[in-house]
Amino acid sequence: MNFSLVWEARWLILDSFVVTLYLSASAVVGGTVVGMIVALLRQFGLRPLNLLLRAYVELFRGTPLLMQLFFIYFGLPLVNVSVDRFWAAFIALTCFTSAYVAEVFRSGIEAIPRGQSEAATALGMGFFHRFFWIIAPQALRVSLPPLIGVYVSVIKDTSLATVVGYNELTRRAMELMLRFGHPLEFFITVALLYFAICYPISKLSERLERKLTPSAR
Amino acid sequence: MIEVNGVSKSYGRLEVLKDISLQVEAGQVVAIVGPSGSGKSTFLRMLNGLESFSGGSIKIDGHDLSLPRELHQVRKEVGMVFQQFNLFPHLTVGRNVTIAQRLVLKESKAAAEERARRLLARVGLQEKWASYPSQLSGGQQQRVAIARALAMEPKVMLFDEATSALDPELVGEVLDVMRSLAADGMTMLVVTHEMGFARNVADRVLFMDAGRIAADGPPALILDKPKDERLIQFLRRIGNHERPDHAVQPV
Repeated sequence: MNFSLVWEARWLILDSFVVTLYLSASAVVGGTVVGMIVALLRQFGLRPLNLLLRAYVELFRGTPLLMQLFFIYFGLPLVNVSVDRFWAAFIALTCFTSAYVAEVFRSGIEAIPRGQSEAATALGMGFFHRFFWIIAPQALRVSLPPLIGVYVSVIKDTSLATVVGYNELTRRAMELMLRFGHPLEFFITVALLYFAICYPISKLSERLERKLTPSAR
Repeated sequence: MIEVNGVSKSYGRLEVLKDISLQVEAGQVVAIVGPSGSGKSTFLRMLNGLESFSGGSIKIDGHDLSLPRELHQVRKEVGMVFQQFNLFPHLTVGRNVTIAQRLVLKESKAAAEERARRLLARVGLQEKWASYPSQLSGGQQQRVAIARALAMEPKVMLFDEATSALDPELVGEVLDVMRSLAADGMTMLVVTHEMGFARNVADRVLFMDAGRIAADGPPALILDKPKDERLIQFLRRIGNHERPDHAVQPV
């Protein structure tokens, strides 16, 4: 083992670490926004719309993220939409994440007793008031621990953006390995960096779960 | 105030309400009793549009419930109290009582809070303003739920077995609030198993059985001189013929 090479490449690694953080954050935000819109639209209960949304969710949950990356990176240019590497990775990760977020959020909504919606209705509140003030805040609370689980997966899944040549952490480790050898040292370093992001988030999720489950509040 | 004309409802083949007609005057307190599954709750929930109905018509304060635009108006004028309280657990007591005023009635924050404090004082819970529902007893939660409904300044209040989910020693405090509302002239429809309340507070008792109103009249007539055979059976079954009113004489 010779970690002096790793130390010499530290700025290159740090640089791609930031890139990974950036891609992760973008995908988490994008996936959450799109996922919640999907979950909201499903609440309207319109049959054709629901079918479409379910197809969307099943499509992105039922195919490998790697294929989705390929399709978007190589497929979109064929219909004259040019995507650079960041956008390809971002779009694929957003769609993939949103499918999971939508499902988590939907089951969160279904966990809220019907009486909540009925009480709000009886007070004269319309669909949007009920959803945004009564249902969504409670559903979010229930969904938070599994949602964080999804986020942790997304952070790890950003490593797949390697295949479209996006210079995130895993890609950088491969390049360094190809140039200097010593694969284990580079990959151990990179794995530790992923772990350094994901582990605290998982811990946070555990603590939230303990805090949120014992009582209704 | 309430005019129901020939209303029915079925779930598939099962007919839960059959040709119900009813007139309730403003200020009347109507107790609705009957065996479970007789359609009392379904009927009550129909009066603010939580359940749909087929055939017939329902008018509340002149608003026709079958028209969507009127339905919204009716919901503002009809308050409802549920068996399971259904307070919003993520909001404080104060917010529970102000939120619909703010969103639906578009009241200013100050006006909504002023009214909420007054109503919470009325149900004896002004000091619970900043508490969350989970920190209250069942009886306290139900009193907050009553204050929340009253905050919309309804003309009619519906109570759907409001004391059935409560521990026996907490029933009295909720009945007390309901009694004081009745004394203030609120129009009330109360689905209840509390025969004491029906006897002492209601102006009128409806006995529902198998989706019909089987008997309708003043409490003295319905509860003490029942004629309908099923009503006699029902009263015997709940063994409640001469039970004292909970709240007046707590056991």
